[in-house]
Amino acid sequence: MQSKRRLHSFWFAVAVVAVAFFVFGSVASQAAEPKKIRVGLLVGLTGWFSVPGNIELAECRTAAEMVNDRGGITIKGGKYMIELVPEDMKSTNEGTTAAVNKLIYDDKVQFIVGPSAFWGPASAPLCEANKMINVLGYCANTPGELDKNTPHRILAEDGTMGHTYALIKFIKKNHPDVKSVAIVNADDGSIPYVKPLIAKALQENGISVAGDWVLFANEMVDFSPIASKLAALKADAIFHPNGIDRHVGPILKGLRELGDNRWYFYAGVSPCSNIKTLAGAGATKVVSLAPTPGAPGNPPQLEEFIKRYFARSKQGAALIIQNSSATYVLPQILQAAQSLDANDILKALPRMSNFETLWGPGHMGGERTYGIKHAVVHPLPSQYLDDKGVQKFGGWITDVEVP
Amino acid sequence: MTLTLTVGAIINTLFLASMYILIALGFALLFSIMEILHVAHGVIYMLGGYICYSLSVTLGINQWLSLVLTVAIVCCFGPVLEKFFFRPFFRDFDRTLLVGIGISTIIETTMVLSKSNEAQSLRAFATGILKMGPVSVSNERLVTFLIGALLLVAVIWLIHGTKIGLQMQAVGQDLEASLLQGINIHRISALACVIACGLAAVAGSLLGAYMGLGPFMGDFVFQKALVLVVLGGIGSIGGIFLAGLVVGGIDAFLPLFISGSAASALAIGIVIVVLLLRPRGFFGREMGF
Repeated sequence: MQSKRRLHSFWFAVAVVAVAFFVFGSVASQAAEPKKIRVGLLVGLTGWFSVPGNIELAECRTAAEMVNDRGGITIKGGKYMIELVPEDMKSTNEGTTAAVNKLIYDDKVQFIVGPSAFWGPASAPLCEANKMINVLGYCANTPGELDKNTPHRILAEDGTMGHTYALIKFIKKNHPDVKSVAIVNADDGSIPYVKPLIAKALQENGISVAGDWVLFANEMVDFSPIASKLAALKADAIFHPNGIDRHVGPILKGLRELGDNRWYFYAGVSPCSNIKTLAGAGATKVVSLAPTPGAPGNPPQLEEFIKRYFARSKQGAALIIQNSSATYVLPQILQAAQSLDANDILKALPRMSNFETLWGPGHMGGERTYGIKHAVVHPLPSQYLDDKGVQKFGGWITDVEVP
Repeated sequence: MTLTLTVGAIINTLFLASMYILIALGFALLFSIMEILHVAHGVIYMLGGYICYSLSVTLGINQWLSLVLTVAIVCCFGPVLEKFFFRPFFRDFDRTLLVGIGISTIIETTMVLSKSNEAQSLRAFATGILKMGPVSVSNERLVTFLIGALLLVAVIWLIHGTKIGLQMQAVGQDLEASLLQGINIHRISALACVIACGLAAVAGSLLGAYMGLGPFMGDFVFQKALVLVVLGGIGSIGGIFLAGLVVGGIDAFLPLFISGSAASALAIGIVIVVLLLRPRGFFGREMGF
């Protein structure tokens, strides 16, 4: 009888130990292996926007790697790592919508980063309907991109207006003789909305706009007519609020072929090196808001990002830092909210005022411009090609504001 | 519109027309002789640009020699395309269309994966600017136009002034009669592929220097070639010339009056109106498939 009891006690003890081992073991393994947060990434990997799109993919992977290597995100004591789920938006609006659909319903992502450029309206309806927190890499001010009807969206980049304000500050400081500009831009649907804002910003800074805006289709290949139209406008300089190197390079080339040697102020982030590649000998007197590796005043996180990105891609590869800055800002939003729930994040958002962006210290703004205070505003760098075509760093524009 | 703008637009028309015609001629040859809507023609043009870039920029070979080598390399694609992709589906429109789409997709995707995160452009084939009063035009554009024009003359001579050209015309007009006359249609088809590839390679290299390179640069070119062939009239070389001038003129002049995307839409709208008025195009026979 006693031996039977002992046997029972023995098996009971074994069971307790096994259960304890299982429970504590699983807890221990949980602590050792952080959970993953699936973040969908909207990038144009094919189509006319594929050059910046592929750069952005490598950049976002770099930003996610930086966040993860620094320990990931801590929410209520739990560790989380970013897992990027890229999806090709095919450089079209319908491709963007299809990509969002796949990310939400098939890939079951928890958050979405991107798109950049002006693809935002195509991704908004699905994101909003699914209460998906969507951190944008750019905003061109088209309706549906960022406004009161997109409460789940956060813009983590200065966008067209932030870049425009920054470039105007650059012109005022470095080219005070410029009193009039001819404006050229992609006909991307944003023109009726940004035109009055940009005209007002230029006017407030004593710069008039010569003639009407010269617009071109995004997919345009031969920019000679655009250059001819610009050359015919009497102004001190050319102003290009939003576009990519594939636009700027050929326009600049066309202008120089026509003997037009005016300064070309470009508010985008395509680097001067790319513009030079595309414009050839015509690549002179052009300003871009692209970062310059190793430039004075570069924030440490930007330098670390560039170093890692070059290791991933190649030394001197072009940088855009739009969706990648969004990838870098999203974890800060989650950590500040201490939740992965969209409602909790939206409740906590008004309390968040300062962020660390890849560009340096950022703050929340954009209420007057977008109708919703969901835009992280940050400093922007500048670089230019001088009259000999030599690339130079143009300094940081630190007091950028998007009201 | 000022005199400078008008003259600039006329120069632009000639420049664009010469390039469009150069690309469309090869496309038209394949269309006439083999009844192939060669949708991969734009991809061959893109490959021409990238091969020339690899030879001249990456390997540092002289730019002009690179152009010649590129044409030689890309011409070699012609017999391969004909033998392995087109001959098995000879005069089978649907399947050759699918094969073309497949080739395009595979090559474009490969280029995206290997090249698309870099902005690339060939060096200019000529530098400097020619000034004529208030009008200035770059030597690069002039050289591009001249090469295009010379090649066009050469192709016209080949088609109308040589035995092979006459055989090509015969195959295009009546396949069975050509066979009865002892014409080797596969040889003629392969030759048409070689010429088409060669012309696409020249255009890809010249425009790759002028407009830059990109994995999808051929899409635009394919559209233009298709428009020129249909507008000019199937089987009509003269029609392609006129269509090239019309489309080049539309592309050069329209953006001066109409802003942005509307110009592109209106350009294709004009082409549709012309086709409604002349369904066979300017000089061609009606499409029979």
